[in-house]
Amino acid sequence: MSSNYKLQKYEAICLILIVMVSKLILNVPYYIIDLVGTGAIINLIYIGLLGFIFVLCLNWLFQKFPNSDIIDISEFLGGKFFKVIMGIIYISFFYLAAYVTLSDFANMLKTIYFNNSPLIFILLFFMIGIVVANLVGLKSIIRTICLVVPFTLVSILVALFAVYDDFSFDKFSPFFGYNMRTTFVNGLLNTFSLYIVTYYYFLMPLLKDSFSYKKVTTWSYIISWLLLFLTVLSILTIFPITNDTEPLNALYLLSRKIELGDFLQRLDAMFVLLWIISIFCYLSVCIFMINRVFKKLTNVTDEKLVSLSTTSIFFGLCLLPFNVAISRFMENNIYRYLIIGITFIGCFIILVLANLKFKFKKGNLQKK
Amino acid sequence: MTKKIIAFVTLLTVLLFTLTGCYDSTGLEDFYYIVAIGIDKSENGLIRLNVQNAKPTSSSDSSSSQSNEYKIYTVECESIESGINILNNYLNKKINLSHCSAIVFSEEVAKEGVKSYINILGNDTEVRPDCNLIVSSKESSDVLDKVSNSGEGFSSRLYEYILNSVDYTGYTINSTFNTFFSTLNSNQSQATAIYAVAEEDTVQNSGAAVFKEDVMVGTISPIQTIAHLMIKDDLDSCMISIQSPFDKTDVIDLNLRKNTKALVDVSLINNTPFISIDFSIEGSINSSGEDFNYTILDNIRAVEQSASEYLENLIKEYLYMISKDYDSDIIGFGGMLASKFATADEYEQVHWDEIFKDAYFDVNVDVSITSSHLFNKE
Amino acid sequence: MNIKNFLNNLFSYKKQENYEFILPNSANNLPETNTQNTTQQIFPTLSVNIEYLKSKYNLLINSDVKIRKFALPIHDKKVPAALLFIDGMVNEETITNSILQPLLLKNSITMREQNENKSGRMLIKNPKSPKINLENFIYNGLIPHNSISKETEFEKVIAKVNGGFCALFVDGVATAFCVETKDIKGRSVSEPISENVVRGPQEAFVENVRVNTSMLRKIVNNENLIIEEVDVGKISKTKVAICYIENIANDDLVAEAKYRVNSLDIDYLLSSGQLEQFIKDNPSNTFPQCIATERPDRVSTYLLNGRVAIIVNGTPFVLVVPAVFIDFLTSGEDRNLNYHFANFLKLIRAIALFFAIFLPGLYVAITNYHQELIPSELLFAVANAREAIPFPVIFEIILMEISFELIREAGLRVSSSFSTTIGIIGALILGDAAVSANIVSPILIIVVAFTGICGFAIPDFALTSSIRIYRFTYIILGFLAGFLGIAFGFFVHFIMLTALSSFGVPYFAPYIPFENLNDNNGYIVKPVWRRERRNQFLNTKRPEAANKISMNWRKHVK
Repeated sequence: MSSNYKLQKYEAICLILIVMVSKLILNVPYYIIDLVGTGAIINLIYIGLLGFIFVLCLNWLFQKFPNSDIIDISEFLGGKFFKVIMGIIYISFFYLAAYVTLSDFANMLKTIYFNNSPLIFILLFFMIGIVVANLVGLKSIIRTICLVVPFTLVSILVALFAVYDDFSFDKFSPFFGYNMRTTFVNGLLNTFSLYIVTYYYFLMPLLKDSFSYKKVTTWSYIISWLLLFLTVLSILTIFPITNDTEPLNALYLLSRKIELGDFLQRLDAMFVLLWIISIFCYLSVCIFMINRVFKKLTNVTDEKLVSLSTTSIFFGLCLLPFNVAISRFMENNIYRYLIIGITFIGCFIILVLANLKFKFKKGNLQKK
Repeated sequence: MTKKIIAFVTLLTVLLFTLTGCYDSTGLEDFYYIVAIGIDKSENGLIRLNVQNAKPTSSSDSSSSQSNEYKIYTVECESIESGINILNNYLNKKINLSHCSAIVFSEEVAKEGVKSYINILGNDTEVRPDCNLIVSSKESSDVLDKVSNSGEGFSSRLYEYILNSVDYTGYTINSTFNTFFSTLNSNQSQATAIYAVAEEDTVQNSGAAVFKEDVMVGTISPIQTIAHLMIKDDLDSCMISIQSPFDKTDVIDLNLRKNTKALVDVSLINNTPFISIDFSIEGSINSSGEDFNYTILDNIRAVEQSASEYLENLIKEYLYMISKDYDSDIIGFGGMLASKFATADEYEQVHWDEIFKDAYFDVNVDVSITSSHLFNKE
Repeated sequence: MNIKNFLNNLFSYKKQENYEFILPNSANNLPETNTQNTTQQIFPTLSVNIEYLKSKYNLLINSDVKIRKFALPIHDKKVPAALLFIDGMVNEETITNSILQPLLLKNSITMREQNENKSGRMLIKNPKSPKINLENFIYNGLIPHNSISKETEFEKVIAKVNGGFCALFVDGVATAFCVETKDIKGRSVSEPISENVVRGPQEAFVENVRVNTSMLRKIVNNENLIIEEVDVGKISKTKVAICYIENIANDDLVAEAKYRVNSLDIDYLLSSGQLEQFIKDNPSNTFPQCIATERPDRVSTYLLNGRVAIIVNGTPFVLVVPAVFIDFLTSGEDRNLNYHFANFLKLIRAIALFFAIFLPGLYVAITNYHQELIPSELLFAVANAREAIPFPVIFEIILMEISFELIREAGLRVSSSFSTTIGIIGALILGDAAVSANIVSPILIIVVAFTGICGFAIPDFALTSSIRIYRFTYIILGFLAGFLGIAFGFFVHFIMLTALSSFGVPYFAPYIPFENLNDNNGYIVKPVWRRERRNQFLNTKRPEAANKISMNWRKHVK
């Protein structure tokens, strides 16, 4: 059955990339720059290295648990109760991620193109798309992602090359940002931009063969980081970094600058078209993840039909009032700490403990 | 299963059509496309907003006259937004700025500060980032009105041609809305705009308007913009006329082309900026009024020498003008200095905007004549 | 109660059970049957020969290869003999008159006459006596036919039989007599109507299944080509032939195709179009999932690449399964052309496909929502042209698209003498007059015409017709929400398309899921010497189609 579809290596990489791309389109590069200013370059390299070490650790820790994700591992560690708690945490986490993304994006669309339309009009399109995608199944979602990702990557790269003319190293100076403390200590908060790591906890059972896990995580991490780095680089090139300018939706503003000769001067709508499709893909993946965790917690045999109710809840969530202030509050005060708290600290501790328990059990067995 | 999907999708589709509608769908003939807007000061403290619309010659019109197919509407208002609203009411069509290719300020407005206008336009998603920013010596409506007189009929491209000419004349600068908007908010450089002089029946771009913060502080002449563009490395080629080293009454026309990037070094000596600039420029002799044998090496050397001296003087004059007279760092030396600091906090100790006016400049220009465009040895 | 049932249907959970066939990844690679290298001499015993041929031709399942056994009466002694030929490629009259008749009738008569002439004594009593050379006897005296040859190797015999010869085996003779009986019956083979090519064979299938199989035999020319016949339809008993090459095609694929065709419980089947809808994986999706072609060379290429062809008696269109998306953008000509040009054509077709689906929708979206995308001068021209038009864009474009479809449909259905009239009416009245009457804008005519031309540039009719439906969907979506609507449509469309599979092969293979693109007929036409591998997604028994270095002459550099 297609609900048990297993991913090939490159499909998994595309899945991770679409998650990253959806973050790039929205405000993540801006939040990074907002925190550390021109030090973003050095900060990103620093965080990228830390993240890479983290991913390597993750690979090592997961070696003992082939074909199980973080939910299974927490069950192994703390029994059913713990598993349910972890499941609920992750369901709400994915809901939050999808909510922030969609609200942000829908509001961006509303500001750019649909000034007079009610938000529900824009949201409905997304909802129908997500429901259809999840009813058809992971196989189609993944294959569509595989088709969309190359185009999206090309679009982002085109956006980057468009700023080539304005490129100069003066734009990135002072190199260490406001001061050393902000760049290296407060800057650690920017690890939230490596949000993709969350998906690494769930990737293992989705893969066709668990040996490719290492390759998938490493490669997808490197490519995603490069994308993030290049985007931040080009945004720094275009927009002067001072305390009183805030290029919200910087990548969109960047795309407005792209010209191909004298004839095609405003191509931003074409970019937005591609980005809408990638947001569709990303949200489908989010809802799929929710369904999947839900399936693990309950005795549902077919997760597809759950997506109807999941999406309805999501729809209701998105109808909550939303504005830039809420988005900023969410990203700055909740989402950021949530990612760091759950993904980088909480789950990591669970993994380490589970590994210890595994060793302990094995030792006991050997003694017997 | 299929039934359920169909039922669900039908339900949502019905919702889509009934509860909502195509609110933002507007046919493209329902808009009034503005080619340029001009902002003037009105007598009673309000602003006067001029919008210019291109009216292409339509074949169905029986009374189609080929000349000057444009219209300018003027309205007095408190802000740009309210002015557009009033015009929307007057024209019965919605004004659309997405094809606006020039924003013109009168010098009067520019000298009072343009920040509020720029911020309004900057947050308008319709305004193009590559729209030209022009400061007019007189009323902005003069520029809008007379821009078409210079050439063949009116076209929305007219304003774009201004920018294109920069590449080969160097007499004005490439000032787009986007660069203006970003330098306005930057603490490392200051903004510039195209300066247009409206004369009797035509408009001439002459030099650039220099801004300090958002206030226009003065202008630089066309020949000085050449110096400006050379330092900013934006000049492809230009023509200059220098005094002939052989006969003081005569001139030699040189076609200049940048050889390498200008080497600009900014350093602090006793908290005073010391800026050294090195150029290497390739030139060719276009014409000379007087007979001189340019096949002789010594003569070439002499021309090179005098060209270098001329350019050095020009650039120095320009640099001291912007630093001493205007105190406005339109080149962006501040940004170059910033790259010498590790952190922004350290850089802020320098207070660049206070010390720039004391800057000392050292300019070295090296002109090498590579060829001549002359076919006859005179 | 009905409402209750309806609600129950709507909301209660039922485990859905979809039939899903997945082509297994590892084809059970049979040990290579030696196809060409060893030469097997003909055995002297007839029964051994027949057994050998039966295994070679898979006679139990192959429907059109016939062996006619009979006894050759030579001097009262009956010598067993057999005649091997392929039905549909031979002239039955010739066989009857020039081979069977003389062998069975004349033989005994002449013998008797001979015997009687020679003093009424039976000279030869034992046919196996060395005095008589049966081989020469038959060759010289028994077959009154102009073209006859003696062969001692099976390979040559089979080659000739595949070419329409008829082979005679006689017990006790280690030689086969190959008689030329080539003939093709039925409606004379004509040029293809819907798939014209410039460079390539100019013949097309006809209605008769036997003629069609013989055309395939002629091109494939290998005894491993199996043509199985199935009767479909309880009343009509339509002959359906399933063709594949035994040592190339994946067994599971063949079994699945046979299973699907055999399991049809219907009263009648009249065309391959009907059969296609019966056997395709997702009947609700409008995109074509089987290749329907009328070109024998194309079918042969697919067969040689390990696909299965299904011929329905009465239709000149042959189905080929499995089909992937790119097949519908492939013309039969691509392989014959210089690969640079073939790739260029493929690119052109891909662009045509894009515009044929999206252009009207994009036009509506851009004019209604994204005016800034149009270059200024063009926008002013368009806006000016639209000034006098009373209708909104959406109405205008739907009007024009529908009239275009009408012209197309009308032009297709009437006899060819009227089609020029319809062309004139369409061009003059709907094009020129509508513009000058200010009912539609000229730019819209350009958009619709361009879309129409793009639709015609797509080689496959089924794909074109499915696109024509989606075009209207995109127009409405573009009108509803501009690029958001288009993106939504695109996403849902692709979700639907990627869920498709044709006989276990994903629809977008070999690109999604990504495979080694080194194999044949991918999205890029490879140079002819690089087409070394068969399509990976077919999991054939012979993955290699050519040697690593196929052009051996290049190896011998002087």
